[in-house]
Amino acid sequence: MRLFRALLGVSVLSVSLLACGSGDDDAVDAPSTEAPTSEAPSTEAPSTEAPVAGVLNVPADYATIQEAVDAAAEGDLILIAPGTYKEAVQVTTDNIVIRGLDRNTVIMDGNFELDNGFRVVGASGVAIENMTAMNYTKNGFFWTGSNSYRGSYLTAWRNGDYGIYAFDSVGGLLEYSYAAGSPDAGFYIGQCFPCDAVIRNVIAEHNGLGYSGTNSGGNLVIVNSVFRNNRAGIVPNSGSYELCYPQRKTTIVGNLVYSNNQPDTPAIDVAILAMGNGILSAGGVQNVIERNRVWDHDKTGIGLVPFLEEDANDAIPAKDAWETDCATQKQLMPVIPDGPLLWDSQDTEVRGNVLENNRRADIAVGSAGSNLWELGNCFEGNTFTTSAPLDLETLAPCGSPLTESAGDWLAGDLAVITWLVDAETAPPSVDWKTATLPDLPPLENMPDAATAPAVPASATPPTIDLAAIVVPDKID
Amino acid sequence: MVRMNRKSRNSTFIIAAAFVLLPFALMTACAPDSPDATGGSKPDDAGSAITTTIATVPPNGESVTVQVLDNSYRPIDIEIAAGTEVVFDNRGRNEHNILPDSVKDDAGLAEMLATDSSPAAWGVVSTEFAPGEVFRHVFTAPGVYPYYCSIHGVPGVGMYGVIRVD
Repeated sequence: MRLFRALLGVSVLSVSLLACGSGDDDAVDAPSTEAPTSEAPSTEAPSTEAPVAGVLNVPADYATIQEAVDAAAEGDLILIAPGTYKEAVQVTTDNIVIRGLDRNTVIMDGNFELDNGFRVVGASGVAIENMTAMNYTKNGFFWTGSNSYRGSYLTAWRNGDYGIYAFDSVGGLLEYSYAAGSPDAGFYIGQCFPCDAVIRNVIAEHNGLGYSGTNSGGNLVIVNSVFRNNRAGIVPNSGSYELCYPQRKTTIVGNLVYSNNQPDTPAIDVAILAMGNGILSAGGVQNVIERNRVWDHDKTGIGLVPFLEEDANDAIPAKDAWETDCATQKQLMPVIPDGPLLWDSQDTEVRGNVLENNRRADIAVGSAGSNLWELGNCFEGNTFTTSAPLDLETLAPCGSPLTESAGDWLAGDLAVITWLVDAETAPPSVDWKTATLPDLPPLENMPDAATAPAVPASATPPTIDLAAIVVPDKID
Repeated sequence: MVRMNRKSRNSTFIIAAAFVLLPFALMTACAPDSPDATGGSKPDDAGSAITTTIATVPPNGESVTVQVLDNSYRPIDIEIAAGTEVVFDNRGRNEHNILPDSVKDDAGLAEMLATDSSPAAWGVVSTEFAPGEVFRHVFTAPGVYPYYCSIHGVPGVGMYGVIRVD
């Protein structure tokens, strides 16, 4: 594989992510690491009655999910009964809703052979709800080229690339979902600007990266979620290996980010390089990281570092081009640079976070040659013990221009270049097919799955009252 | 800062085809929009036969590069003269494939390449086009060659492209 060297170079959560204790009668035992044995969904006899208009039942009306999807018209609801479905479903019809009747027992199983549980290609308004996808060689749930998408109450477990993956798509909502065991990211939103997307109330654990967002941003918010026990937690980054660079304007508020040092996960190379960091902006710009609780990381709690890209495909856009939307940028002809690119993290605000026990530094900013005071990153009102460089909030306050004379920018320097060496000796990736994962907890079902009306995805994600979000309390 | 050497894969069919020239063959109808209509004879509705042979030309020494990114081809749409080599350079971090629109997946392409010697049979399967690898193909017959990556798109949507050969 082509080697990229990168310098990465809730009060209580507003809604519980887990099932509501033992009172949740829908909860079932967690799936084992072995593929379920049933080849076909636990079937009921095909219905002899005419299906309700607009509702397509699987398997009662259609033997497979794909058959129902192919038969669906805009506005239809596909209801899937509990069972194991060994399908890779492709969706190209706009504005349909695909829903499992029980999140924990409607299981899409790729059996380590099929590529994606669901792949929505070029269709907008497709909502997928209340089910589990596991053992796919690529992704559990995948949207690409969509102008609106939604994933609610989804579980992605042990998939070979991403858990829940939205690429080149805008107008998105990923919520009340769980992703574990992917070598890339549990959750991914990439190549979009403006993305107009929300990730809320999700859990990512035991992935290479909890969240990854390459070249995404613009009204993209990640809130009230948990990122734990991944190699690295939340990692937006820039790079010309995808379009719509740089990564910019992602807002990360009110999340619990902890213990992202997990050595036994599957992991892509970037995840190994980023290992031991909670929230890491790798070449991202104009991000806002605010009121998160971040603890127990071998490297940084919140780090703003450069991303070094070899074999780059275009020059880094000048600052005055950062507002260029993705569609416009796609039409521009690239200028392949002579050497590697260094994407600096710039103009990012880190405010009001609570950090502890992040062994290298609670808050940090690093570069590989650029003057830190010229990058425009600022830190204010964080609760922390250590920083790199030292006394970072004095050196780089928000609201006023940064100056070289503010202090000693080299004292306690992050020395991010050494991370390249660390990566050479970091625990290698574990095969995603056999990696040890925590048993799936019983996960919250969508309310009234059998009767709730079909609501296709909206191009306008919900407005999040960011000001109302406070630093969440610890869990565990 | 190690980078794997770029490996180059050539389209075996097209190199062979370039030497099996039909320089004087004439199309009996207008140039087809798609190279799918190439080769041989087929019965028309009345049961008679028409010839739909497409002229192919030798490599002209020209080369055009298409960047293969995650998950896009850039540029998406190119126009070239017949005989031009197109170099598909996988500069992304993921595996991709390049399939004619008429093909469903890697297996379908493999079968096509094994059984079809027409200009419509071209492309590369994902296992032979990892990050850092290069696939080269000389387009010797005029036509429109739509293609896509079955991992990240479908024909005309997601990761797709078009080669227009004059």
